[in-house]
Amino acid sequence: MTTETKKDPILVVIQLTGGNDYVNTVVPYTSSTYYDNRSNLGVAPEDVLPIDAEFGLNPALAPLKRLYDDGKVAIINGIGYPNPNRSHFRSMDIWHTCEPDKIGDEGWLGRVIRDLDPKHENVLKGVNFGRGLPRSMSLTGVPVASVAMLEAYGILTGIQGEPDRGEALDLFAKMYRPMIGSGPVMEYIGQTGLDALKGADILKTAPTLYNSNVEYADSPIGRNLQGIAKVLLSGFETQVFYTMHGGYDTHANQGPFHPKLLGDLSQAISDFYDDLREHEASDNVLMFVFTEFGRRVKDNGSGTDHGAGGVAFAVGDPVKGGMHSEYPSLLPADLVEGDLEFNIDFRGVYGTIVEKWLGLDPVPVVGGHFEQLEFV
Amino acid sequence: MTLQTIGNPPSVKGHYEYHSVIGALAGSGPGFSGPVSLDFGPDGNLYVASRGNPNQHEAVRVTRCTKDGEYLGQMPGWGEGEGEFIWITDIAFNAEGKLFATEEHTHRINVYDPTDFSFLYTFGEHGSGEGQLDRPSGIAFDSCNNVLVVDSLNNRVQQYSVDGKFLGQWGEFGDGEGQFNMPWDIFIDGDDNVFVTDWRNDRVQKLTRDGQVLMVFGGSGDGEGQFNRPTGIATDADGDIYVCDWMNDRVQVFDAQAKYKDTLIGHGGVSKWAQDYLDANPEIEHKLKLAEQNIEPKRRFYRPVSVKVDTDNKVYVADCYRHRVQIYQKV
Amino acid sequence: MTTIATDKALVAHLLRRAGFGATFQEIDKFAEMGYEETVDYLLHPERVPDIDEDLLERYYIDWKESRNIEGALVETVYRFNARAGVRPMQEKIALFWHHVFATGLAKVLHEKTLLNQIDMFRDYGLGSYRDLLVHLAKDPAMIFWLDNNVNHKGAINENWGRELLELFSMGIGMDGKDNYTENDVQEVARAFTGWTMDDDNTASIPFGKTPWLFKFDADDHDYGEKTVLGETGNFTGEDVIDIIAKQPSTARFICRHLYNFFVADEVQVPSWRDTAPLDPEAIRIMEDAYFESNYDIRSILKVVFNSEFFKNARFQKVKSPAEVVCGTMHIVGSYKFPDQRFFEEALECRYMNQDLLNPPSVEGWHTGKEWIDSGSLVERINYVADELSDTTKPGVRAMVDNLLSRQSEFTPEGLIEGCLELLGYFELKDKTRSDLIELVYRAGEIRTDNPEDRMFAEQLMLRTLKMIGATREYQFA
Repeated sequence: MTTETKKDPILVVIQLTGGNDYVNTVVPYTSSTYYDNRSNLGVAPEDVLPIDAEFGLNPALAPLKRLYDDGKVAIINGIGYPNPNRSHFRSMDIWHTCEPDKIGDEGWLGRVIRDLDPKHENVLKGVNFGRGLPRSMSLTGVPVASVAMLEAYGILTGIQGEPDRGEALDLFAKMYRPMIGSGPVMEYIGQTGLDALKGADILKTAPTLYNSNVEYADSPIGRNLQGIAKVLLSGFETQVFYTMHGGYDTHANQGPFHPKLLGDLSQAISDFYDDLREHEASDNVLMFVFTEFGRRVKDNGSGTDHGAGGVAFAVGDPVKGGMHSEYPSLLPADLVEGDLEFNIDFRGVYGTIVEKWLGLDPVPVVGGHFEQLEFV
Repeated sequence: MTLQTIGNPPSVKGHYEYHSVIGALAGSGPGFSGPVSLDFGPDGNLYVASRGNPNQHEAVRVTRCTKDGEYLGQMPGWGEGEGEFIWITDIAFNAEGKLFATEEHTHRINVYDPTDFSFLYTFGEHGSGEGQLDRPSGIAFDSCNNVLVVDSLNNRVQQYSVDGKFLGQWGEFGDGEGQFNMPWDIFIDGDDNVFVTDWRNDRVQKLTRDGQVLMVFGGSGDGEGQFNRPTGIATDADGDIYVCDWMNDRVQVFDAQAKYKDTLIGHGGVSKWAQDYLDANPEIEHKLKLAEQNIEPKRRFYRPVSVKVDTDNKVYVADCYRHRVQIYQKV
Repeated sequence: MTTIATDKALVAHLLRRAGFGATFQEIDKFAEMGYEETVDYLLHPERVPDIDEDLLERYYIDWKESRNIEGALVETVYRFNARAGVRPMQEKIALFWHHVFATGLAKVLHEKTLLNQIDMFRDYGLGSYRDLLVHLAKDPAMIFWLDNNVNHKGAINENWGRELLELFSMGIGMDGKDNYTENDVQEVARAFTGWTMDDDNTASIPFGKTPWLFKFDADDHDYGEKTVLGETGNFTGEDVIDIIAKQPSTARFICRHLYNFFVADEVQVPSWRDTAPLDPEAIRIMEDAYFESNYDIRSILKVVFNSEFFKNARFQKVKSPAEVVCGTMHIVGSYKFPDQRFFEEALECRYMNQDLLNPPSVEGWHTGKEWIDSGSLVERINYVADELSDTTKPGVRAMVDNLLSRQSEFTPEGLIEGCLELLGYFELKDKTRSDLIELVYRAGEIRTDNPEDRMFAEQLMLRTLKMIGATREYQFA
């Protein structure tokens, strides 16, 4: 889809927390090695949703498959980084900061937001849906709104009902106005408080501006993506959205858990896409779905443990659909300590998004030059 | 010595032999997560309640497995709603085969049908009045199918009919006979003798079901017959009394007259579920083996919380911080 | 202000810095005890009976063993909160050293081992700084965090050696000059070869985690001659720490850290080489105490707390999130007994940008105004405002009952003054105060002599507490 009106590119990042099981997400359904390793948890060949002669999607991803068939989904195979770290914490940190060799404290999306809005003109350039700020968006001096629930977002939300709440916010605005002679720290806090109030004032209008015929399936990720849709469609010029979907650490009882997660995720993505589409807003939105690592090839009887190489997805109208990068070999000789070997560095994938989609210089954002792909 | 090679080492005085182990840490499915209570179901299977951890709600559950450690299923149910639980404390089956569970976050007793884990009914509410509960803990049944519940923060035991009607209560705060300080568990033998672990008094009280004291034993310390916060309690067919001596990380055995008899310290190796995990993660097994000095402590009990003896004289101990059930055979 | 009120205000100030604030009852108690006596009391936590460990284990079965970072975080906040009323200084000094010797689970991945480090700070944090450094060098969480387990004889890894000098003792420079050379870094690293750990397994499956332990590998230790900071010898790690501890730059660096944490916000650490201390005279007094006491932290703090520069530094620090959360919990009296809901509340620190046990890097958290951004400010305000106005919390109930039973009639000024006093003799700028008075004034007469009016007065007082919690001034301690 092309459009003549120039709209700012928007990026929506969905983090799958816990380590999504790659080989049960994109299933190599003709590989006997796969079924040998997944004697308890293999997805049967007749159940997968084939995308080609070798690979198919987990049946719970049917809504994503629909988008795939429309050319809206890029599957980025074998994504990872050198010397993979199998800890959630550390590995997620590496994905957030692009610093595999030291503990970094700047998030890559923080740098993106800084470069998109170098003068900090828009307090809502970056919006996270969830409690607390993910390190990926954290950068000193870059304001990012973190919204647990849009309807409940704001200052002094504990005060309900008018006129009390209105009075309290008026008083708050008064108390935070510049105060001569109070010193730089008081002044800074005052300005920050007024910025927060401004951001909250803008954000609270989003639910009233939003109107849609799309009904989202009820799930945590569905609620967050609908929240993103509300803000995105309200014209606040937010360009970077972030949210998380947790529970992918399927050491045990993966059989029922994993398909439920994939089902919720793909339904939410599909609802979100339809919502944007209904509002003719899908052409400038790129979704990027990632996880900190894939899981071990061999199952442990009831679940799978932490592994390395994984899969990411790019979804949306701007995407060149299909399989990108190589699916790593499952043959025992090709595994690294029982895990898939990565073949595309995630920083190259970030770089692709930063350069080809957001139009920024990727080098300072991802910390170097990395091989890019052609999915945008 | 590696984790795998273990014979049947005896208990301290030799009256028991280590038999086997079930379990490994798991947030769901085969495994436990801080097991705090176990009991035998009418189906002959083992049921284990896991306390879980606060950001892994599905880990709070009751697991069903065979006594040989074959996983059969589980009952999750985290929540504050009817039939749900957040701080599960004790489970027990009554004569009709119903599964009772105490829940000390909402101060209730939940009752389930164990065949399909369907919720049947609940009773109890927060408070200190008659029939009200403040952190219910141990639960047991007398020969009339009445329910006795340790009402821990009210320092008493309350009696209910099987459907939750208040019948009576006994006990109060203190360290005299018949007084309690945050009691934990309760066990009732075939003759309706009631055993209560008087947790913060570091002792056990044996009473009639009406609360008449028959015997008191224990005292603070780590010597033979002394306790550091006793938790689970049970007796066997011979009348021997088993007490989980929690912060001393051991189970002490006494004869029916409360004379010290033996101590179980834990000899757990790798269970079948643990081996499945290690097979998929050889580098973890390698690391476990490398840390030789860490192996012995890993065999030992670490905060045992619940004990029961089956009809074959096998002693089952919920080894809470090691997420497993260790089993001994009485010789 | 009367003398008594001044005493109370000073005691409240002391408790905010040497602890997590104080309830109005505690302020009365300590004011009666006397300021200097209170300083002594606080600096000797070992003289006060400790909290009941068995209760923690009974209810927080899973947190005690801390199989995940949330559990570890909660365990930490639990102890801060539980000891805030009995041994506050023990917790505050642990938090201080956690700021300075910032070690994070992002890499360490073994909650129990890191909690042991925090416990080590509790046990030794008020003692000799030299001994503390030895404990730190032997701390397995630190060894792993800074790669000393791969610092080998003949193949050094200088990470620990460098940070020991740069971040944990001397600082990169002082008075515009460098404190050490690159050669010193490498020689220090050599002295710590073989200081390693027994085990680096981080898997909690199948048995739960077993804490790592320090191990000295004599075969991997470089016994050769080293030259460190101008001295030459076959130094061991302990010898090197002896040399470091006696450097004037170490005294300066540690005193500035203590000043920044306990007295007033300084510039951030990386500027210390070229920026003079905020109060050079105060630092000089502290440095003297450092050497006179043979590096005893307790002795330095005693000098600090009894000094005029400390007493004059009220509200000169932006509260850290741990101080906001634990200070609020303490004043409102939450969780005197273990409760499941504690878990969610402990995570508030994280939402306010202080993820305890997971500092952003080995440099620790940037403090002062850098705690505040629009996201964290909203979290702080909403949390504090809700807690301070929740009458189901015993501390709030007590404040309401205390104030409203004093008089039958209140002026707006009187109500606000009473609230500020109960919260620990807080002070508002004139403009803020007049804005607040206006709100209270609009509500009309404030009486307490009949139930209906009393109810109204209570609601008004709760709103006032809430708005005080939302002020800029309340962000300071």
